[in-house]
Amino acid sequence: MSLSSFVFPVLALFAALPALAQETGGMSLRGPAAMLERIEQLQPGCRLSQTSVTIGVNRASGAHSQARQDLLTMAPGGCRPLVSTQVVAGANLGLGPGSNAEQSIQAYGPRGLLATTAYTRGYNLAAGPRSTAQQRLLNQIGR
Amino acid sequence: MRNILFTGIAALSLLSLAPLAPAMAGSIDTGGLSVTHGGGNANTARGSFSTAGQGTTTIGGAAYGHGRALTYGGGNQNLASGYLSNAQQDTTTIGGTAFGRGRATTFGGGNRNVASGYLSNAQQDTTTVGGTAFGRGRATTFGGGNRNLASGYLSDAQQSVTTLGGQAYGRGQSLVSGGYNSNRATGHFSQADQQVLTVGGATHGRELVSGGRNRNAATGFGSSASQSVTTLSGQ
Repeated sequence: MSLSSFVFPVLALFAALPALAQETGGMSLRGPAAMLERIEQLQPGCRLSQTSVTIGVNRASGAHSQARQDLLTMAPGGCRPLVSTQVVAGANLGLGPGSNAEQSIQAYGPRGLLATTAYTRGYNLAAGPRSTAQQRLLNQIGR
Repeated sequence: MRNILFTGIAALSLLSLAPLAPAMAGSIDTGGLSVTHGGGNANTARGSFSTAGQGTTTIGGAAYGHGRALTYGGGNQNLASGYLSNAQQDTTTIGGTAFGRGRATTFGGGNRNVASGYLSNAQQDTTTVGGTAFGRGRATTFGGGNRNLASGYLSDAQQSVTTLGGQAYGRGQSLVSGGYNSNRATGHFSQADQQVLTVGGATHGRELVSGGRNRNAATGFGSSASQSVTTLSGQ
């Protein structure tokens, strides 16, 4: 067996793999008709994908200091994208002695026609002596 | 315990509304994948006389048409390590209804609550609601794997974990696990109180329930440890 007869099939295999991965990746299409029906439900003018990321960092580092943070994220109503992703993350730090740190993050978003992902993560720390740290996170997907 | 029952009843009332969702949403109205992640939070009161309070609420969706609903509300950490510190953590995660051969997976466990400071107090309350699968679905619910530790002198650690999930209708499978919890009071005159409630079940098909392998120990001088683990299934 010559070298070329071995190399060319291998190269052809490597060339074919990405195309195969594109066809098999993503969501499994067990019901293509139903899937297409859902895609057709996408209203004109609405986005295919909508991602909302709300991140807040609130820090009270001085002695007897106060830090307050309020974040609100709302997506426009009436439009449902195919894929909806909503991320809420907050870090609230009361570092100084006698400090007070308050953080509130709220996010409201639509549900996707095909897929919806809601991700929430919070970190709350009262490290200073007599410090206070209060954190409230709300991540809501429309029903 | 009253708090646990209240949150349980409130969450069950939400679950009872789940069958109404298709009628409200239409025939093929929503997507096939719903991921709700509300866990993995950290709350720490490290300074002396410090107070840390954290409340996290995540309300996610439903999946229709060979849907897959993943709800993750566990993996939270609450720590009161300072002198006379107070740490309170409340995490609520609601998600997960899958229709049409769906898979509903709910994870509310893996939480950690520690009161390690002198005269410290740590309170942790985790509620996870998920997991209803219709039409030969599979509902998996895991609410265990929680750790509660009072290691400081005269410290107090209270942990309450409520996980509701696991309804699989129409020859479905329901897997429920609420065990593998640990409750320890190792500090002098410390107190550790742990309450774990895992509710699953309600299937006409195959069912597996596991609530075992829990550990409760009071090893500190004059310490007290109380543990209550309830795993319900099989309706």
